[in-house]
Amino acid sequence: MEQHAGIEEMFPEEVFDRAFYLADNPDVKAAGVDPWVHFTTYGHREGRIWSAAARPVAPALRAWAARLPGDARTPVLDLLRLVPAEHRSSLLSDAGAWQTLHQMVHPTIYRMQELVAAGALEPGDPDPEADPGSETIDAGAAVLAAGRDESVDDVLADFLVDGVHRGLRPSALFHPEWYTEAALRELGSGPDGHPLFHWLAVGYPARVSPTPLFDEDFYRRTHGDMANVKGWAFDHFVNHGCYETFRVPSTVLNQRLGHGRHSRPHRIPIVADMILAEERLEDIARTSALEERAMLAQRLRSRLDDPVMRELVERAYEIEPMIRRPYTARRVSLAPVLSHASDLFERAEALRRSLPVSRVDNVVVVPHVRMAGSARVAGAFVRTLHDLDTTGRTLVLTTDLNEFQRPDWFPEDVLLVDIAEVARELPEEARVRLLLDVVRGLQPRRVMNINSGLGWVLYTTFGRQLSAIMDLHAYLFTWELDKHGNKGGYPVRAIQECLSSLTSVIVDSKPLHDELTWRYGHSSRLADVFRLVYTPAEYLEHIDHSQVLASRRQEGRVLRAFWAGRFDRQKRFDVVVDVATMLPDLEIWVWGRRVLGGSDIDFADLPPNIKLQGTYQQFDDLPVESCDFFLYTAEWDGVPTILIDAAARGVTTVASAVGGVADLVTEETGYPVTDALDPAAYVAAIEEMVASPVEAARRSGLLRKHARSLCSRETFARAMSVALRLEGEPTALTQETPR
Amino acid sequence: MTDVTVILAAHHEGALAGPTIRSMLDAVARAQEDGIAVEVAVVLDDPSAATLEVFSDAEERGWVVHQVDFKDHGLARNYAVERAAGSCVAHLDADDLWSRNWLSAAFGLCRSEGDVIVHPEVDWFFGESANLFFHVDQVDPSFDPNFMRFSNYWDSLCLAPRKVFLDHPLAPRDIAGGFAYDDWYWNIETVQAGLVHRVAPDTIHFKRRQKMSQNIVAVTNKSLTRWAPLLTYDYAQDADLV
Repeated sequence: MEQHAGIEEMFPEEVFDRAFYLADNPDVKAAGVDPWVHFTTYGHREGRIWSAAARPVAPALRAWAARLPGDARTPVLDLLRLVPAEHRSSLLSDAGAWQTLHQMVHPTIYRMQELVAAGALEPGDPDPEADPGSETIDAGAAVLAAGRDESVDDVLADFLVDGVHRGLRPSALFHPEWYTEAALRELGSGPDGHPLFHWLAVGYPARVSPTPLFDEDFYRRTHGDMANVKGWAFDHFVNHGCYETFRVPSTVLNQRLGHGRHSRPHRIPIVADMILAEERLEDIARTSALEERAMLAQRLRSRLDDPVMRELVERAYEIEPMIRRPYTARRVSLAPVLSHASDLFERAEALRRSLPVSRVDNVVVVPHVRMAGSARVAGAFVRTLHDLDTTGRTLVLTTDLNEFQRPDWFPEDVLLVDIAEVARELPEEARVRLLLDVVRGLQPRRVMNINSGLGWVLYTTFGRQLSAIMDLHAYLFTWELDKHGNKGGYPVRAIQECLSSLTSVIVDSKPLHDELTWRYGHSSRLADVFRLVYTPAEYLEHIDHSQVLASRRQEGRVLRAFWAGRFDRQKRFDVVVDVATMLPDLEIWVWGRRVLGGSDIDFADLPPNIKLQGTYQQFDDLPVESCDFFLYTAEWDGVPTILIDAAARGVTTVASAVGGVADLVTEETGYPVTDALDPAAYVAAIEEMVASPVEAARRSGLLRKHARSLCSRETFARAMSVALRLEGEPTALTQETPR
Repeated sequence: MTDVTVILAAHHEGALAGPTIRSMLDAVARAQEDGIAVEVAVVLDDPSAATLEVFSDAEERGWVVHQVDFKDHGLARNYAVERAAGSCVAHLDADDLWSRNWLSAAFGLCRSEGDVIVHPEVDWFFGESANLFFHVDQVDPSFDPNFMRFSNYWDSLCLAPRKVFLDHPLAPRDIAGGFAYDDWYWNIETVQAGLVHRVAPDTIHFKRRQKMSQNIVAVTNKSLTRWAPLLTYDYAQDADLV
């Protein structure tokens, strides 16, 4: 009985390399012991290897030995019992096979099976409040993270000690059932022990693919450089291709691989991540959804090997010899699981099923809802829409970032859906298809895009078709200047590509409105598309800071400005630094953070009179009464919400006279700086302002009044009602106190 | 009584129509061997001189020939369907090929299953691409109508009762409006109408992919299929409940 056979009976002596053993074990050589006697007496128990061929698994054998209790410490014997007797000699001396076994070990796949086997992925006690998949996802993520840094030798040893007896598999590229079927089909007999060792001993030399995820014909036809690779292409894939994102090993993976051309961390092949990314992993030791799809594709392809089908193809070939061309890999499609659209479909259906509604009246598309002017405008817009269209349901879609930091800007019952997370890692073409599906699926009467890049792609790509079934609206705030100093952004390019599809374009400043109307409004319809609608100011009625500068000057306090905004190219914080340098007695309190980049400011080396204050959540958090005036330095802009906030409170303002800023800050209402990039011009404006505090107070009072008139919520609602083609006048403006 | 009218639609295929005709003759011969009465109708829509030449003896062969100037594949097919004698219609494009058993197998399935629309088991693409597009039988559990929001299940070269084509004519192309994929839309319409698409096992269509196919034009043009209730989440929600 082989179970009780000893090493001398099990191990074929002819593959034992005496010279190698002595060279590899100086202690044996020094002791003058016969190497074969040492190996069969001690060495095999210690996991010592018998020839150079076994070197790839030597560390794992030693680790295996170390994990076994004294009497049971027989790793080589245990290994031999896994190998079919008739193939032991050939396998034991096959360096390529052992190298391949070592290369085939994928720690994350193995550890995930252990986790599944231990029940760690089973949901705990039912908790109606909990996301039912969250535990699984968290546990899976932990395994992925842990497995990435693990030693292959340790994992291989664990597999040999334990996993092999529990039906686990060490590799993403070994599918026991697939191999068993393939061996029966191609070799005429299948494994009777663990299929992996049958494959190593028999299938590997016979070039039987151990996984449905690899198709040699497809791999070679798809990658021209494989023409230079001799031998079995599977070796190339195991050693190199499975770590290269541009390699496509089979038709089923063709539609699902990552993008770009780069290599992955060794031991974490793409297919391992893809297997682990599948929703259901409880059967991962046996198979996975990805492999099931791959097997389906291979089965479908083999349909053409059926004699009836072959005869039909032969006859067609006689009629048209071209049918066998081109000689590229033949891809297999079967909807819905094997299709270019499978991934997108799965994501879209998951998203659809998560929605609380199947139809809405309004869709508002925004990039995200975080501390940004456009997000605040979106909130004002949705609140107003909520008031105007009291029976309509409105859905807010975030397209770029799954962030909803300011729920207070929106009505309490707003429906919020994020597609940024669902669309993660999809190329733009697929992301816009996803957005299209949501918009088309929900059948809104109108869509409003407020600064969503993906929303603009939707409009420019499918606007003409969508506009046949719904009204499309968009918000434009400002163009941008590129690094060459030329205008760009949505008002320049996107608008050209979809203007004819838009029902209205809301513009928040007069200069931009006039510019667009001048450029595009050559018919009454087109001129009417552009609507000037100022963003509503939010303030408490009694707040009035117009006298602050005068009071502080009278009290002889330090002259202090505040500046708040993003530290990016547009906002020109460098001008603030220059102003601070030129006016060392001026203290400037600064709130802001870097969002878009493009600024070269060294924040570790700012003038001492600039005091960084961090970020702020809302305007009234700013200690405005401790500052004489608001300094604004943007190089281009619409009407920034912070300026509206400051103006509506009567804050004395020195501001670059660019874009919509000049709609609020004029020589009558503040201190506009015409040359927005000249620090000296700001200095001159500040000196003029400080020289006459009474005049500054007068201007600030006018600014407060002007802003409250120009940016009133009633005006905003009326304008929106017209632009959105809502019938009747607004009747139910929210009665809450203006914020 | 004609069982099947083969509608062979041609426009600028020229010599490529030669293998198409040969494969059609194969399939017609097999069908006739099986006792199926077949009419061949050729619809030449704004044909090129080379295409006209290929079909110059068509009437002498007993085929019905319609020469039209729609410059629209769907409208040309509709025209021929209206004039077809067969109880069923099988569409063929003049650059594609049928497997020789197609007509017999498809008509047999249509006759045995009632008013179903029959597709081949697989479309074998050749020429500019080498894909195998397996068709899904609508009675298969894997069929999900919601997938039609994203892609098409079936190619247009099908066999179905003539009444189906009369009740659901192909929509005209609207490239300027951004709508294409008339076959996809037709499939959506027929599924919405409760018709069932079936697959005839062991049959193949050999589809020639040319450098500038209608499909490539549609993709380049960012075309969509026309709007239909099936594209909405209301429909999907109802489908979930079925």
